Parts: sequence; C-alpha cells; structure tokens
Amino acid sequence: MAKQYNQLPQVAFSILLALSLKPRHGYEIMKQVGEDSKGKIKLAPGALYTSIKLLNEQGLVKELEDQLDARRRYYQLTDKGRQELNAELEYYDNTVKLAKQRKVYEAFAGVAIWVN
Amino acid sequence: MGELEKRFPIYSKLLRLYPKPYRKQYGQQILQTTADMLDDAPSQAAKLAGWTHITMDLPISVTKQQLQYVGGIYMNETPRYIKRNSIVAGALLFPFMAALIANGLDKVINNHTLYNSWLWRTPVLSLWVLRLPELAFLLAGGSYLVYLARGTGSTKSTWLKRALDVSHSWPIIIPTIFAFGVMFLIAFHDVGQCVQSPSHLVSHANQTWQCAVNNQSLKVFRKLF
Repeated sequence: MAKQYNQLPQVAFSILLALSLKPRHGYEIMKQVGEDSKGKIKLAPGALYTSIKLLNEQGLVKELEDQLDARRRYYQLTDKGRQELNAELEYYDNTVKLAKQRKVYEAFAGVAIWVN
Repeated sequence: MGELEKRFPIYSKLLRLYPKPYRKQYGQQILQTTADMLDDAPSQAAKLAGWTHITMDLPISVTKQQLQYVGGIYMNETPRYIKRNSIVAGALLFPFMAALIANGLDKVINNHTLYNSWLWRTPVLSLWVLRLPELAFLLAGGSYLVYLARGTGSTKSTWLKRALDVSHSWPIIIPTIFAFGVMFLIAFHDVGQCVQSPSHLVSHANQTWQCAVNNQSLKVFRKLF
C-alpha cells in the first residue's frame, strides 16, 4: 500500500528546505526562509521555535550532536525529514507540471494570473 | 542573570509566559536568535520593524504553546475519572444553560419570556435549576477532592501543590465553580435589593440581614430543597 501523503504546513516546509543544504542555527534558518520565499515568509523567533519544536517531535529535524557554537544550537534534517521534504517537492513539482500542461496560469511580469 | 537576559530584561521576562518545559528547551535560543536578528539589522528602522514583528508574534506563539501544553497534559496525564466526570458534570449543567439561553432568545425574538411555560413549573424547575446543578457540584467537587487527595499517581506532590497547579485539574474546577455559581445565584439573586448602599449596610446591619434572610429567592431556594 502506498504511503499516505501528508502535506506539511508552509512554514514547516520552508524550514526543512532551509536545512536541506547544511545544519543551521535559528537566525540562519530565519534568514534562509526569508531569502527562499523572496521575503514572503518572515519568521519571528517565537514562530520559528514553535515550528522547530513540532518538527523535532515529528522526528523531521534534530539538534546537531557536535554543536558548532557554544551559544547557538544548530539543527539538521533527519533521514525522515529529508524523505518528507522530497515527497513535498515531488508533490509541488507534479502540481506545477500539471498546471503548465493545462495552461492554468501564465507568468506575467512575475505575477501569476489565472485564466479561464 | 545571563548576558542576554541583561540585554533584553523585559522580553526575557515575557518569555516566562511560555510553558516551563518549552521555555527550558527553547527560551535561551529565542533570546539568542532575537539578539542575532537585531545585531544584523542594518538601521534603527529595521530594528524597530524587528521588534514590532517580535511583539506581534509573541502572544500568538505563547497562546499556541500554552494550548499545546494544556492539550498534551489533558490527553496524556489528566486522570481518566477527571475527564469523564467533568463531561458528566457539564452535561448535568447543560439544561440550566439551555433553558436560560432559550428564555433569552425568546425575549429577543418574540419579545416575551418562557416564565409561563412548563419549564418554569415547580417539578421541572426544581430539576434543572437545583437538582442537576447540585448533582454537578457534588460530582465535580467530589472528583476535585479525590484528585487533591490522590494526585495523578505518576508524580509525587503534596495536596497544596496540586491545589495551586491547575494544569491537571482545570477540567473539573470549571464545572465545580460553575455549578456553585448557579446555586449561589439562585439562592441570592434577590439579596441585592436589601443592600441600598455601603453606609446603609453599616448603619442598618440588622435590618439588612433580616431582609437578606427573608428574601424571596432564598425562600424559593429553601422550598425547592
């Protein structure tokens, strides 16, 4: 039986994406999420650690065992986290391909406009 | 006090609003991330924008964490008899709330009340106004006393600590207080008429007491009992 696909909340997905290249500490994650979303997602520390706690409980991220800094805790993706991220990216990839096939949207000056 | 607590004295105190386990795990990192964010801000305006963002985010994330914490305790640690008895006590109080709401709606929609309906005739009235709230009070209050005596069984604590920490007992405290409030309201809702002013209460204390003892609502309450 195929594994059921559970879509991640947008912020959780963005954090996993930010951690996909290397382990990062809190502020690095915030900055990377901001850059990746072109400033659309602005995390405050409270919201960031609320999501990190959730991801940690779900086993998708964990603290780095050998911390690189005495004051800052670094977080990294777990194998399960990487699998979830890949599943999520695959879902988005398929959705975009489908939308393009159906000519659902046309990119116009950086803005997606819906056409009938 | 750490360096970051000295730098953000108010913010670090506000972080105490988070549940203790969360604060212990992430409190210091929240302060460090805040410090990194402000240090990296290119201008005073950016710092101000950062603080505005943090200030707006704090109540939301505190509420989320508190709800998760309380929900987690309710699901995993609250004794089963507290959960069950709180639901039963709530069900026993439901007719009282439903009758009052129905009466209020009738007043608003039809501009008359249900005072002449079967709901307000003695056998039915005594059931929903007194007997059911009384049962709810006994059940919820009794369960709370059992909890104070026994605790959750998983942690050792004194009854005083259990009385002060309501994180496990709130589901049973709410119907206890509500049921007590209902009975108090029924017995004393006319007593207010006896107290004309604080100075009158002092100068005519005996008269006020006689009025309170003989007031109509208390008489009805006694009669129904």
